[in-house]
Amino acid sequence: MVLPSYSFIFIFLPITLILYWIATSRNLYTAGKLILLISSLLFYAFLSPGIKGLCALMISAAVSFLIANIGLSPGRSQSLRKLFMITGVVLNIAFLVYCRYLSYIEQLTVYAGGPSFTFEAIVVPVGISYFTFSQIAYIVDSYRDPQISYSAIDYLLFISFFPKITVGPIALTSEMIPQFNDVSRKQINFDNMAKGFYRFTLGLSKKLLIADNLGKFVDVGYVNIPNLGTSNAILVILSYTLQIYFDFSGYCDLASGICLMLNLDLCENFDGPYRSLSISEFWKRWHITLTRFFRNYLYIPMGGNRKGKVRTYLNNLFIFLVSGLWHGAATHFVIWGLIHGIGIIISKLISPVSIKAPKIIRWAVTFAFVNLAWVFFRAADTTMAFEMLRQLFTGGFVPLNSALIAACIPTECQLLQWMILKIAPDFTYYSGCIIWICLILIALYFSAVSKTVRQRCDHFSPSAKKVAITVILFVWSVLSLSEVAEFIYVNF
Amino acid sequence: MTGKQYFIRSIAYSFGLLLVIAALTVIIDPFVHYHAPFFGLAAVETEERGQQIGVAKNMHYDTAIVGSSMSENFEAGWFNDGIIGDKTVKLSMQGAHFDDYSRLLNVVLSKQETKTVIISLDNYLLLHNPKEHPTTIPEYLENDDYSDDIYYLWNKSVAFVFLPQFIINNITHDFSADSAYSWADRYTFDKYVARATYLPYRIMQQKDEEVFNAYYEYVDSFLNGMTPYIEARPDVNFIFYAPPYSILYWDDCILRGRLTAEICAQNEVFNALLEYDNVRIFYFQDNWDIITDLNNYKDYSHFSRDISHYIYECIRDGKCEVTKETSFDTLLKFSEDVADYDHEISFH
Repeated sequence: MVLPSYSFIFIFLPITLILYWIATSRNLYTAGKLILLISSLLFYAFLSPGIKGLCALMISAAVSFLIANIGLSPGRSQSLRKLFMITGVVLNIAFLVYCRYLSYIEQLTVYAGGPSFTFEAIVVPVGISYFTFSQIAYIVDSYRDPQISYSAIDYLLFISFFPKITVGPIALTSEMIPQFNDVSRKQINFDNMAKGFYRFTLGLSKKLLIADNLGKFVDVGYVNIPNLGTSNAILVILSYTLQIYFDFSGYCDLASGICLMLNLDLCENFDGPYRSLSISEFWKRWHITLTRFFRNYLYIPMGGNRKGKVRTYLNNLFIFLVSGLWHGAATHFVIWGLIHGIGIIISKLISPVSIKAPKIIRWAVTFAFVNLAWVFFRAADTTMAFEMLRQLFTGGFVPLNSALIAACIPTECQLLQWMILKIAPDFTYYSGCIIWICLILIALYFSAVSKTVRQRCDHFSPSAKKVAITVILFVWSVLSLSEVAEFIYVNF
Repeated sequence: MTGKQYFIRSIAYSFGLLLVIAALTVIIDPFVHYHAPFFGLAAVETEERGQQIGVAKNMHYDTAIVGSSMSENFEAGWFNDGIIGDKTVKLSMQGAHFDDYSRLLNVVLSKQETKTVIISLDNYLLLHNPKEHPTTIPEYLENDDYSDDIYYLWNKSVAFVFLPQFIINNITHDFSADSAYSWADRYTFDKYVARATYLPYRIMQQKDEEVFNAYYEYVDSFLNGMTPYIEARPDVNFIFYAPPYSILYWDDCILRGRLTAEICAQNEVFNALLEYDNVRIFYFQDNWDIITDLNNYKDYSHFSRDISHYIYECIRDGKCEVTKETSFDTLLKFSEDVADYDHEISFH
């Protein structure tokens, strides 16, 4: 069961909401929390790898909780607390490395002439990268502030909370747990229910109507790289840039929408990243909670920008190297991270000059840079990424690939295509090209020009027009659940 | 409008609209999943793999044609001649493998009124591991479990494409249920086209002679899958036919080193199937007038509707039939003739 599924939308979510609001409306606050906890654990158990994954999650959460609440209790000496903090962080990182990186380490060892060792993790819990970072943040925060203390139920609910467990955002305990216990949030608030449903619907639409349709084009394009040429390569690369944004931010909108329906505020992960005028700005707007984690728990402890310019740049480079690795245990992810690290350094170096350039130029350069970097992110390996770039720069402006266009016509447009085929068969190819370019332009408009979903929700005022939009988008999205693709970020 | 009104109206209207879509899907039923079409509508074509299992389940017939693209150009009505059958359905699927055949046969043979099954015996069925080609018929259409029907009732392709297509095709009479999924009118059958589509593959062909070492395993898998159906329904006539591929197909076979494997596989299958009294096999592959006239083809194997009609006539009249006594000699002679044939003539 995933968030965009019939079982989640029509069974799991309504039952959870109804039970939660019945419990809290009768002032059974602990029961309300237990309902959320049981729902979250059930949700997690229904995800692959099932009960084994749930056990791994609970053991990991229990170890972190015990270290933070017993090992880091205020009564202990500072050195002992530091030792417990390091132990907690190392254990979490070790678990993450065990689950996700040993195979990659083996590949690198063999590449360097070392011995080969066959390895397969017993279990790789879904969302491990997200909840591990949340746990590290909790341990470090507990070390920094000895007064931080939460109950086991609160902590387990925070870690396993179903809207965010699979794809984040990487929330902090201080953001969520006080909300779980805030009595003022225990009364049903229909304004938030309305906002939440609106945001949930927009998130579903972003994922199912835009990202998944673009994804078909991207998938076929990346399978046929040698035949692309410059023109097709541009469309495929641009499509992926838009797909990953609508896919990931769509999920975050779903999560935020659910939280709003529970009268909770989830931290934001996106703020219109494709409007950015520099790479530094892009990282303030893209995957905000990951950037925050790296800044607060890695960059600043490493010295941040306090130890001279060279050290600052090296710190930046290191952060993005780790960020690349966090996204995937493969060299092409590392290269993607390093490209962004270098981009940040260049962006800072030239900022006194670049700031004077027209906004449109700064936007275009930043957007083009992000597009090119995504090639390394999407490609299955570095060879494929370089081949895509070769096609882009030397493939020549060939006509759009008819097989590519025909294979990826969105389902919504297939009836139209079928009718065009019957009436004017010669126009089928051109209508396919027009459909594709329109879809890309619409996605580009919603990602780089129009208001973000967050802005739309912040200024949400219910009206008949909004009801109509919500109903159309919700029904359209529900129909699209029959062919939903996996979230890209669920693999990280 | 208050937030509460917005929330309640959005939910209520959404569910109302979803219920309307589900009701339309059930009533019109473009995949014939629940019932034969109402209101005088015909089961015209929508999506082959989605619809055929429903047609097999919910239409009334005594004769069923189960096959691949080699059977798509048949008109089901041809077979309602009182000799082969009285009410025929065509259950063809493009690129069908044995698993697809199997799903259809499960339904067709579960019906007591079934008297005859006509099966296209494509060579590739005998030389592929059936397990490597699982069916792509959606599970929710195949099973009788209503709990997963939500994938059909609230399905973007059904709502936006197949439901309107089903209605439009019925209104415009562009497609009849008889000729559903026929592709003959969409292509040109011509020697130049047939050669042009084959030549690029001919240049790239590589030997895959290892198929000879494995063919008996594939044949065993095929027979282990097929014979239980024949044994279970001795009252049903099973009519197999080997479709007439063009001489280009056999040129391809020789270039890939598969000729012996294909003929041996056919020999084994024919021998095993002809052991049953309720099986007849019609062999069209050695009809040299057809296979060497490339104007009958759109590519190296797919033939025109005239050839499909000829196949029907032969089945009706009992021509081109092989028996236990003749099958080995027929196959041996054909393989020798193909090997001796000057294949370069096809390209002049």
